[in-house]
Amino acid sequence: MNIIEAFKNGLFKENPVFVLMLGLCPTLGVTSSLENGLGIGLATTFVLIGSNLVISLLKSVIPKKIRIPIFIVVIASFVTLVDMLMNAYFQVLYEKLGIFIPLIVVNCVILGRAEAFASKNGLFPSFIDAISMGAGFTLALSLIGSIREITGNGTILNIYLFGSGFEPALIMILPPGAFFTIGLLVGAKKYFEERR
Amino acid sequence: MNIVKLGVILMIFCIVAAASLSYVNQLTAGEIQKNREQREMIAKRNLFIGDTLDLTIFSDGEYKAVNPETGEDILLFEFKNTAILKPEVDLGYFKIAKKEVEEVVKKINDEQLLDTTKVNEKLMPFYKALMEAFSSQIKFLPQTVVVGVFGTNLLITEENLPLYKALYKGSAIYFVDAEDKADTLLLEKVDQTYRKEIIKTGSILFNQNQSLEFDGQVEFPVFHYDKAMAGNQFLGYVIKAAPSGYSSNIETLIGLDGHGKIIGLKVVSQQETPGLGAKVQEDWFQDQFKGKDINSLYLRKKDPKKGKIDAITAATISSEALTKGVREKLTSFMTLIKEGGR
Repeated sequence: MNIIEAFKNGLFKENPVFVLMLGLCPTLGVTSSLENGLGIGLATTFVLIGSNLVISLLKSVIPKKIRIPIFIVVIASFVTLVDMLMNAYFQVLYEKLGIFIPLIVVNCVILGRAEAFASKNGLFPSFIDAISMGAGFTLALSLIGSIREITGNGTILNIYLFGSGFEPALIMILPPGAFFTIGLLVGAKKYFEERR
Repeated sequence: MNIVKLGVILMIFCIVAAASLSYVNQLTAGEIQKNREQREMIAKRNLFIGDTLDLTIFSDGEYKAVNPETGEDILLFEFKNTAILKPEVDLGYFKIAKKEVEEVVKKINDEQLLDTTKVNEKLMPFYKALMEAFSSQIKFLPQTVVVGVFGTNLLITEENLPLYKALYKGSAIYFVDAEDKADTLLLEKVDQTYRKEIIKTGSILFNQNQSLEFDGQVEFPVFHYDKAMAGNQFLGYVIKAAPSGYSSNIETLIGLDGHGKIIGLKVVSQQETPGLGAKVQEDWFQDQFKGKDINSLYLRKKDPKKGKIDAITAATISSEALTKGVREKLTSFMTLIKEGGR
């Protein structure tokens, strides 16, 4: 499997948010700022790598008929383990990412990649797939987060961009703003794709 | 047959997952608790001194502040965990009990009775009356009755400490003073030796309906707070509030000076909406509380006259919850401290 191809796939062709429309719940809920988008993106990538590796290793012992409940058991326990270990031994990391971890226990990006990729492929391709999909997810969430933070709060990474006269469009950091942003971004992506 | 096999496989996966989870949980629980306590300690400490000071952990609960320029120790300070009885025990039958206890204690004090047997003799009629009153209310009568004495003039001094010991140990009635006015140290001695035992024994709660409940597991209805001390110098109090906000309990530490003015406020944990309510954890919001007391802890937009706190845009519920929670906690704490004689 071509690594560059895999990244192209994860970032653009099969971007989990803009194309596959997976994991929309955290996408809508948490992307009110760049920091949050980046945080949950990285946390998801981290968990995705782990779960893809585990599922890929276990694929021969998982019976096809009950694969989904087993994926859920494996992923949920893996996320919980990561949460506990991080809390105990990696305090600095946990303080930044910790609040996002419980949110991704049953994130469907993770379940989706386990089902669509890791359960059919070997260890290394699954690892690459996890990184590329995670990168695509992080990119999408950071993008949405930046747009919402700039328009809805007038800041980026908590730095004020505009003068005190700027009145931010509050609706952008409220849930409807997430729908607007995603809709516009998906539309823009389609538009450029068709022009090409 | 096949479905049984699949079921068994699923079960095996679940069992393995559960086993590994419980193993890791055991492994990390201590560490997580330690981290949590440490974070809380640092937060408490930061209420009293700026984040700019370089601090090293000295020992449990004690901190040594080091001046980063000269390398000298500037402050040595510790937090004393203190408890005070909540006012809800001061209701119903308790009021009768309190009055009679006061009388008995006054008698004992007047007659300088330090002998255990004599103390018991004096207390027996009172104890009997108390038991009768209790037995009509509760089905299960405990062997030992804990009577909370809140705000009475039970002074613990070097002289009457033996009396207290006698009361605690020899009598069927335990006396618990809310907080001593004269000598904190001695009270703490009594505390350490006897109060633990009392809490284990159980307590009687007096609720609003003036009925009594007894439960061996019930903890003493106390209000926990910390006293921040630098050597012998009293710096202030730390109390905790956890008002329920929009989607979580906003766990907050509040640093107070002796007069109830807020020295610092720190939200230690919350799960409010990211980008909105989660802003309660931002410095600008928390710093608004500094220097305020209960009279100005209102939201400016809700109560323009009194209010000195600006709400977070689009997160009024979280802002209001925290402001109100802090105000209420502060009000009840200040009442307790005043009634406790401080």
